[in-house]
Amino acid sequence: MLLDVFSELTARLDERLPARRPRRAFRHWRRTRPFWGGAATIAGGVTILMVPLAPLPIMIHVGTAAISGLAIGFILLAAGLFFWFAPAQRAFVAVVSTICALVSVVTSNFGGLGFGALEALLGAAMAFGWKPAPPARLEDSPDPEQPDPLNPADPPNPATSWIAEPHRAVEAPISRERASLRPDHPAEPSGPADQPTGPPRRAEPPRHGAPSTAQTDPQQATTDRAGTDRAEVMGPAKVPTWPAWSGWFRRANAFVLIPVVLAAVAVPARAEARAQAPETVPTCVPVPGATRPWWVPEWLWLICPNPSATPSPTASGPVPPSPTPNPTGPSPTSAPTPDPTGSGPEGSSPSGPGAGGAGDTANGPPGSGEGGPSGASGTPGPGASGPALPSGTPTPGVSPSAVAMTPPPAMANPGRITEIRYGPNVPEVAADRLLATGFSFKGTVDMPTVGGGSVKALVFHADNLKADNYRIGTTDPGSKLTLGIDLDIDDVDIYATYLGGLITVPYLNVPLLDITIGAGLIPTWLPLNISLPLFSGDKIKAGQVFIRAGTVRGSDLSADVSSGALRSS
Amino acid sequence: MPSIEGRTHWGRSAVLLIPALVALGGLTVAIAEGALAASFGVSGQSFKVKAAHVKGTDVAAYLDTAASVDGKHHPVMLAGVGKATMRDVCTSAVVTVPVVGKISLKVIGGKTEPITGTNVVADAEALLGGNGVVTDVEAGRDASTLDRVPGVVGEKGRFGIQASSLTTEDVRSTAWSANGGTIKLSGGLDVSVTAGVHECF
Repeated sequence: MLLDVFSELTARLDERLPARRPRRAFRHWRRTRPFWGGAATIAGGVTILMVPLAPLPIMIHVGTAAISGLAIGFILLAAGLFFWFAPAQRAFVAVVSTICALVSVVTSNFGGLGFGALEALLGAAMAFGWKPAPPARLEDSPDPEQPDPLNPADPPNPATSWIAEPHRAVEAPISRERASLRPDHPAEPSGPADQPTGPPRRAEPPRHGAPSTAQTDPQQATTDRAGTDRAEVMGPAKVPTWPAWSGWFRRANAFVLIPVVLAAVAVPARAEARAQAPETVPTCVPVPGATRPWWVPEWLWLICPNPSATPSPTASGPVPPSPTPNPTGPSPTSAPTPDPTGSGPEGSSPSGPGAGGAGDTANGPPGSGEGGPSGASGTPGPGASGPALPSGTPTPGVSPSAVAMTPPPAMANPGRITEIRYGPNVPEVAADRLLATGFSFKGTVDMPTVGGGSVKALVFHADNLKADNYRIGTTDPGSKLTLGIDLDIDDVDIYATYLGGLITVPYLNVPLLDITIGAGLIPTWLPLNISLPLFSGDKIKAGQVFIRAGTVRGSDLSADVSSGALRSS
Repeated sequence: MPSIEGRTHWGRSAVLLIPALVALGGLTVAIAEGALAASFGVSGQSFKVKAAHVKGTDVAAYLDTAASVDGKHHPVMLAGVGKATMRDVCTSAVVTVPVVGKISLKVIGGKTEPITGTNVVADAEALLGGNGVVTDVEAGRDASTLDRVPGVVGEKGRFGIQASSLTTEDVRSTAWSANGGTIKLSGGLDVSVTAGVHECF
């Protein structure tokens, strides 16, 4: 009834809408193929593709796994087009796309978050179920609810017609129909047996599939008639009464169906069995007293029918790959890693005088006046360097820039550093406060960049470095990283094009010297390879080419990637 | 080619559809139980990830731009982790579906057992972290010379960073894509699809 109203409505709509002819043509085209099945399959393929398609380069980085997810999307897309433009192959294509839709659940984001796989499954099933109707039935308003029993004209699917033997397939329903019409037949004279062109013939043709076959091949039609006649003659006793579903089952082609059903069940079963073999078998304890119903496969039964029955510790116990107990290499508890790579000998030997110098450093300002000349005396020797740093500083009249400058010496053993290639665009870093222990200046090094050039950088080393509100902003074209973090680093080498800030008295935060040193020229008093026990600074800025660090502990990280300028801090 | 009009016979469709749905159910159970490792490649719109605890060995990251489906380019930090272990992970994405409106997909996992993955690559737009420890850091390497995580190598002239291990707590990230070579979901997976905007943070 609802259907009638609906068809009425569509008919009205049809009259009113423009472009009647093309719409008719399209409708005919649409009805002569599994259009909606194909559309749903294409939608499924597109959904599966949409989810991961965006950054293709990443797919290529990751490799096969992501690519196979994409491939399935394209296969489903192609399958949908096959339904539209080569509907004859719909059965095979439907089976293939069903399998692909199932595989996509594993390989591609649950098959496009579930939606894509479901669309493709539904579409494939619809296309599989699509069948051209015999034209005879089309005339006298086919009942859409009942699968029509006749399948004599099925030209687009030759495979079905060979294998399922359409004549036989047709016979059963026909004779069943006739069997139900039996009351007519006994009333008829015994004619049909001896004269094939008897009276029932005239009554029959318009009712059954015969006219359709007659259209295609008259000779075939006569044999058909003979066949139906024979069936009629043999009577109801000879004809097995098939259950109602058998008709479409046989027409649906068991040769295709059985492997599909088996595969559909076997694929997850095998995958499951393989994956579960080491794990789930011991972890799942079936409910005591419960017996497995025959229709539940064993592998399914093993997936804990009652999860509460499994004690959670045993569940997590036997799983081998659980990497939780893995101790992360350098554990955070062993905080100060005394591993001054490369700086070992220099760092340790002068620490004696350096320790003495620490007192001087702290008390620097009072003794500064005398210290000045010693700093200016030349390149700092190890002995002089301890007190040298604070010495030159607060001489009232002398601005830092007036301090004698000298080209810095090259770093003693750059080692592996010169083998790495660095970015040509040096990021800017800044920190509100810096506190370093075991801080030393190690000279300069020419750091090769990818473009073939090099960047001259000052090299500093610290046994430990704490930076409050450390910020880094990259200067690459394009994406810009802005990162802020509180850092606590052990064993760090800093390679910087310049370093500037306000040198302060450690812990007291008394400003000593506002200075910026570049890699081109350094103050002559800057001690080389002398480990300062304590060094502190405020408002530090640097051009940070590279940092190599043993252990970095960070807190309050916030990182943003933008295309804009460095966020002003 | 065929000029005969036809229609879908639903009984016939069911022959293919019902076994397929049964298999789909089996696969879903297998994935949810962690028996089957599912492969991920989520992207196309930004999504949010929150994890209470993340451990990784072999980490590399560089600056890149990611193109989304609509053709826009988004600046991102492409980060790869050779082997990742995550606990208490919440992932949420808000998708705008034409008729229905906004739909939130939320996946929560790793409650009782950690979620593990190999060669996880993510395109992060923003990252917030609590306390973390990173070892053997090299910051400032050119992106084209990164060698910790296979495949995570960027363009020349881009800022790159790599480290041998990473442990962080309370990570929150907005990302454009995440790809796991393999991600093993276990420890109680909870997938919810709800109407409206319900995000992890």
